This record gives sequence, structure tokens and C-alpha cells, in this order.
Amino acid sequence: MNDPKKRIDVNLSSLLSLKAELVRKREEAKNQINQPPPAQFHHHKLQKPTKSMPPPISTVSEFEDQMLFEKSKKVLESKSKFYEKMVQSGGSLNSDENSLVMFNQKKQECTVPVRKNDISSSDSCSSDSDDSDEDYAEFTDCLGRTRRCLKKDLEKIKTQDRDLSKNMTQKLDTSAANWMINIPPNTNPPESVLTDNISIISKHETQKMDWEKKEEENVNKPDIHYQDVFFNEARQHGTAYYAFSTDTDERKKQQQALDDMRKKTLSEQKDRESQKIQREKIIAARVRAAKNRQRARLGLPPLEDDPTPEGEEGSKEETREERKQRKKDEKRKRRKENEESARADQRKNHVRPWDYNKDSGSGSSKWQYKPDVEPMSQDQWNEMKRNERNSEFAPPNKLSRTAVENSTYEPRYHPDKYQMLVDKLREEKTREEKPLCIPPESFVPFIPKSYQNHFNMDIDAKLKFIRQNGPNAEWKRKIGPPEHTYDNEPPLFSTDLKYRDQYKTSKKYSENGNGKSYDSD
Amino acid sequence: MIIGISRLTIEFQEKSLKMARKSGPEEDLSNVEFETSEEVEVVPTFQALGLKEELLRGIYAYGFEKPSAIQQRSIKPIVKGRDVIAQAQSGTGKTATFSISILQSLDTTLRETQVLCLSPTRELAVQIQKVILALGDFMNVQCHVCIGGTNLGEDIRKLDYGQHIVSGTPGRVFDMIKRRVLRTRSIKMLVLDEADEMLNKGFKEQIYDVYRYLPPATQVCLISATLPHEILEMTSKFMTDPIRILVKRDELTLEGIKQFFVAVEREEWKFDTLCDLYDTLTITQAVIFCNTKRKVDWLTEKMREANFTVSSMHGDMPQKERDEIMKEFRSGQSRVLITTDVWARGIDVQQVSLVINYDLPNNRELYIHRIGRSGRFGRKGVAINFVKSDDIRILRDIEQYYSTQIDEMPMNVADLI
Repeated sequence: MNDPKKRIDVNLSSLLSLKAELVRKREEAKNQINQPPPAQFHHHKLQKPTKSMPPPISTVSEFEDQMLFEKSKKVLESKSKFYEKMVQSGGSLNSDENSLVMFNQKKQECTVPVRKNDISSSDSCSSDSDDSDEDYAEFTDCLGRTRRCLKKDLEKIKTQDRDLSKNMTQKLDTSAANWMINIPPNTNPPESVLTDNISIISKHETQKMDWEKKEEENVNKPDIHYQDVFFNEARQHGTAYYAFSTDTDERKKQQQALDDMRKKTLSEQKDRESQKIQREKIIAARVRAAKNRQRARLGLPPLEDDPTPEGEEGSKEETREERKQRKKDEKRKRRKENEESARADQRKNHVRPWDYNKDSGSGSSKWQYKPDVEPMSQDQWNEMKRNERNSEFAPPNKLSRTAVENSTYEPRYHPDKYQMLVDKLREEKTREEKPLCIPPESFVPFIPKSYQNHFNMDIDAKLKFIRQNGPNAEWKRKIGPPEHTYDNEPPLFSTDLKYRDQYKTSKKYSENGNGKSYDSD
Repeated sequence: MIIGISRLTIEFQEKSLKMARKSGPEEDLSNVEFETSEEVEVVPTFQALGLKEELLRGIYAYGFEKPSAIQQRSIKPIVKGRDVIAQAQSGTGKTATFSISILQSLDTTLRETQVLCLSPTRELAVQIQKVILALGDFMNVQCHVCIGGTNLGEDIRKLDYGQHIVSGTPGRVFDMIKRRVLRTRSIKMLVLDEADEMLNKGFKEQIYDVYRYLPPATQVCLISATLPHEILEMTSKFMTDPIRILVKRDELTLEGIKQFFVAVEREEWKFDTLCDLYDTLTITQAVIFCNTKRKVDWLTEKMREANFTVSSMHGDMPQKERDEIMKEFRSGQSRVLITTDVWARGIDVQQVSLVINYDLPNNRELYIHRIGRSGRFGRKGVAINFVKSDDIRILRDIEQYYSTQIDEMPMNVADLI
């Protein structure tokens, strides 16, 4: 910019006029300096009125600024006067409906400054901010703020403050950003703080409980829909998203309503379309009529009816050129289709390695998985289990259902197996080194008196008795499971090792929960 | 926030693979380069796909307006009944792709299982059920989730009601088939989500077991973001002339997901780095991956000791707890989740914008899946890898393999989220 070599292209006259302007400005400046400085503007709002003289004006521009400054000050002064007038009148002078200043409120604030606890010096109403500090006293209010007031008002304000502190918990505004900072340390945080935190926690808890409840509901619901598994996911859906009710009937109703609305919209659209077409037709007819009238006025014959849609003839001519192309395309398409169908056949006949040995059920009958082993019926299963069972622990011959049905049925007896079991038990015993509980010889089995009569019944009667008294009958529990494997019934408790072992096994058997088989299903 | 999905580039090759058509199991495919089939059509709008009206309504309600690249290409062949192998970048709408196709080819008047959809994790199976139910909300579709760790009796009862679609994990599904509770005679489509994982060593046997019970020549669809060569090789065993829609591996990383690393000299420093990053984590939602369950437990404990709020999830937790943590995370109640690779594949939480690899993943595929938890459906995402000096080599290998860029983490990483 300050390049001295830079050529400035301006025309001569403008240079001259610039020079003339400079001279004129200098003249003006001289005159201005000789005049006395204007009176200082004084306003309440100005904290530090400029008492010092304005700095000496050295240049023209500064002088111009000064002038502007003066002018704006004057305007401001008049404005502030007007403003005060407005405040004093309480807005009654205000003719502007859209005024953003509430003058009547201002007036109220001014008249009762003490009541509001607001004696800050910045307030426009407190005109005596210049007064000495001696008249003022400072105190800390219930919110921990340092307040300043006239000494004479101190008592009054303090009582007001006490009233305020009583109602504070309700009045504390927690929405403010730093509302907590001014709380005096000894006052408890207002309840709302605690409840807020709790509310966040409990919100989560209740949500979790809701989810659990929903899941339980889902278990018993035959139909599950999106809303049932939604679980408050934070997901953006499309604008067309509609959260259906989780209640089946309600859902149906909502879907029905939506459907109806859709149909209505569609029919309305159709109606509008047809109306539009009709309107266009009418307009076209009118235009034609108008044109015809005009033509008639000019003595011309009326226009022909409905000119045929254009382009039809053109397309006919084009086909000749395009026919070849189209035929080519068609040919290619056909070839492609043939290829595709051939490939589809190929695909159909292809057997995947993983599909080997799968019976593809010729033709109409649907393929169905055939298990390697056919599932058994309940009877088959029972029979199999019976065969697996150690015959020693089978129900006695005459009890077995098959025996009833078929008298030739003989339970199989495996002496070897039995011996094996006895050996095994002996082994086990030595390993465990736990003496088997053997009743002493003199031991008389405990039989409740009420059952004594039944004790000598024959086995069928006994069994009947057991059935009647249920599996938990005291009698049954006390004496252990009855033994009926042998024709010669062994004593219930015996010191004979053979029987003792047998007792143990039978006891084990019943403990394993297989005792049911005694009931000969 | 949403970056145009159109930026995704799936490059389609003109050459098709002719020999794979007649390939028997004895053929060696290890030298064959698999490419996208030439017959793939691009359908630019959902309307043009000729979908059912109720389904279209569900699609728009779910928030889809225009089909993504993979949706434009794969829905049509699946609906046609072809076997399809579909690959696309993470978070570009693969689940929706097969869900829409399934719903389109479904006969809702027939209350029998028509589609079986298998996924590697229970959470993913649940998510798929949710997506299907959402898209099929106006169709009143029935989709049951059949996963381990839940009540068998309830499962049986639900299947007895009759379900159109079953989404599950292989173990429980096979159990249900064997019990003849899940009847397979009406199944016409088998979908393997995260197919490369499902056909990996651990799962392949189970998939085979399930497959043996399906009607022969059932339509099979394989979907995944990563489909290694050995997986594509074996597809001829259970698929017939499949249509392939593949993505080259140098286009597999999304531009919307910025990848960074933080070099730490020692393992202990990772924790401090994570604490420093915590404020960034909670801007939206973040997932932190560790390589072992024990480490997840350890890190969670340590973060909580340092007064950070985190939640954690891994496969050793009871299913009920896993469910609850998923719900909390999905609803936004929890914002930081420390987890294992059980979370690496397929899980879609829109608000996740930051993934931290506290440990580098054990293979390249997992890296893609892990960072793909952020940047869902065109959103922005950031992945930060914590690397010790000897890990940098691995990171460079990943960088090279996918032709992507992993820079040192800048100071203003929070601005990128």
C-alpha cells in the first residue's frame, strides 16, 4: 500500500478538489479550537463521569469524532430524560404497543426496593449511590449471599430473610446452572436434589422391572410382535414408523384403523385425479368453444374435433429401422431365457454332496425326514426298559401287568447278574469302609399299631394297601420297600449277609427314585 | 451425520466363474479366484423389487428409504429362490437384506417353519428376530428365537404354536430338530449369517448336523462381511450354482470409520490411556474389545475401582445377565461396554461410534468385524487400537491386507465422533 513506486491513476480534477477540501477542513478546525468546550453530559448510569478535559485535539478527524460524540451524548441525554419520565409515569405515556420495556413494572421496583431485598448500587432506581458507606450495613442472607442495605432497614430486612429461609426448600430454584454453590454448608440440600438422583436410579429400575414383566408376558403370548421385543431400544425409525400396541386386540384395531385410513386416502387420491381430468376436459372444451367463437366472428369454419394424438405415425416409421434391432434383442433374450432354463434344469438335477442319501420323495409326496430309528410307542419303551431292568428288582410275577394279561409270562432270572451285584456291593462296602447299618438280632421292626393288622396280609392285599395310602405312607417308609422277588419271602431284616446285601440294593433302588416300578405301572 | 451409502463401492467384475458351476467335491478350487457373478442385476428402489405392500410399509417404517448396494443386488436373486453368497461391508444392511428376502418369500397363511436362520451368537440371533419382526410388523409375521441358555419348555411351547421363521444358534436348533419339536418339512430356506464363522471349524459340524435334517436342495444363503477363500471353496458341498456378490478386500473397510492407533510401551499403560480416553468414550456409546473373558472381568473391575461407569459382557455370564446388559446398552442406559469377540460380529447399536481394541484381534477378519460395530449404516465411526511395540507389526499387516490407513491417534479425536 505504501509502495512509493506504485502509480496512482486518478484524474487531475479529483486531486484538486481533494486539496480544496483539505484547506477547508483546516480552516474549520482553527475556528473550532477557539470556541469553548461544550458542557459535560452527566448521567446517573455513568459510574465515572469524565471530569477530565477531553484530550487536545490534534487532527481534523479527531475533532470530527469529538463533534459526533457530543451530538450522540446530547441525544442520549434527552433519551434518558424521556426514559425517566416514562418510568415515573408507569408506562401511561407509552403509546407504543410493542414496547419491550415494562414501565409499570419498573415503577413498582422503584417504589418498593426494600421489599425486594434489592439495593444493589447498579439499580437504576437507587439514586443515592454516591452516599457514603457509613449509612450502610452488610449481612449474609439465608442463601449465603452478602447483601448491603441501609442501617435503619437492617432489622426489617433480617426478619424478611428469616421468613424467606423458612420457605426456602420450596423456593430454591434448582434449574439454575450454579444453584448449589450458594448453599450454606450447614443447611441440608433441598429434598429435590435427592429425589432427582433417586428418580434417575429408580427410572432405570422401573424400566428393568418393566422389561422383566414384558418377558414374562411374552412367554405366555402366542403371537410376538416387534413392540413385544423392543425393550426401549434407542433406535431411529422412519417417519412412517407406528408403534403398535402390545395388546393383541388393540393391535388389531390399530392395524384396521390404519388400513381404513390408507384405503380412504387412496380413494380420495383417485377421486381427485378423476376430478382433475374432468376439469381439464371442461376447460379444454371451453377453450375450444371460445376459439370457435372467435373463428366464427372472423368467418372461419370451426375447429375439427379431437385432433389425433401426435407421434403415432412417427413411431410407425421408426419401427422399420428399429425392427431389426428389436428382433435382435428378442433373439438374444430368447437365447438367454433358454440358457437360463437349461441352467435351472441343471440346478434341479444337481445333488449336493451334503444331500447324498437324502430321500427326495419322488414327485408329489413332500420330503420328510426319516429318522434312523423309528420312535417308540410308550408300550415299546416300557417293554424295553423292563428288559433292561434287573429281574431281581422287577415286581413279583403275579403283580406284573403282562402276567395278568398273559399268564405264561415268566420274569427272567439272572443268578449270575445277581452274584455280580453282590460282589460289587461288597467291594463298594470295603472301599467306603462305612459299616452298613445292621439292626441287632433282637431288633423288632417298628410297625405302628394301626398297621399291625395289615402286616400279615398277603402280598396283593399289602400292595393294595400301599396304593391306597400313597407313596408317602408312614408304614411304607418305616419298613422300607417290600421284597417280592423271591417266592420264599425273605425276612424284612436279617443278619444274613445275603439278605442284608439285598436289602441295601433294594433300598438304593428305591432311593434312586425308581421305586415307582413297584407299582407295576 | 449420515454419509451417503452410495459411496460404498462394490465393484463388479465382468468375468464370471464358469467352472464352479459343475464343480464336484473332488475338484481343487484353491487356485480359483472367486468373483461376483455376472448375472447380478442392480435394482435401485424398493418398489422396483416388487415387494409385498405390507413388507414395503415395514421397510419404510424401519427407516430404510433406498436400498443399499448389497440390498439392490441380493434381494432379487434370493426372492427368486437362488442360492446366494452375499458379502458387503459392515453396517451396510446385510441383515435387512436377507430379512426382506425371507419375508418376501414367506407364506404367512401357513403357520409352519419355512425359514431357518442360524447365527454364531445368541445376541445376534435375538437381533435378527427383532429386525424380522420390525420389517414384518405389518405382515404379522411370527419369528421365534431358539438359543441356548433359555428355558427348554418355553422353547418347545413356542415352536408348538407354529412359527414362520426360526432364528437361532446351531446347538439349540439341532436339539429342537432332534426332539421333533422343530419340524423341518416345510423349511425352504436356510440362512447362515456370519457365514464364514458358521462354516469355521467350531461350527461346521453342527451346521452339517442341522443340514442333514433339511429337505434336499433347500435354498441356502450365506451372508457375511468377510468370506475367506477356504469358505467359498467349500460352498459347493451344500449350494447349487450360487450367485456370488463379493467385495474385494481392499474395499472392505469403510471410509466413514476412521482408524487410529495409540502406541503404548507396556501393557499397564493401556489402562491409563483408556482412562484418559473415558470422556471421549461417553460422547455417544463405545465398545472396548479384549481377547479373553478373564481380561474383560479384570478390566471392568479396574475401571470400576477407578470410579468409571462401565458395563461388561462375555460368554461365561448367564444368559439372563447377558440379555439384561444388551437391553441396557441398546436403550442407552449404559454407554461403555467392555466385551470379548462375542460382540465382534453383527451386533447393531446405532449409537456406537467408537470401538477400542484394547487387545489387537487374533485374526484379520475379526478386525473388520470389530471396527464395524461403529459407523452403522452410513454413520461416522472411530476405531482406536492400543498397540505395544511388538503389535505394530500386526497392525501394519492389517493395514496392508485391507489397503487401509491406520494413523496415530490425533489429539482432537473427540471431534471425529
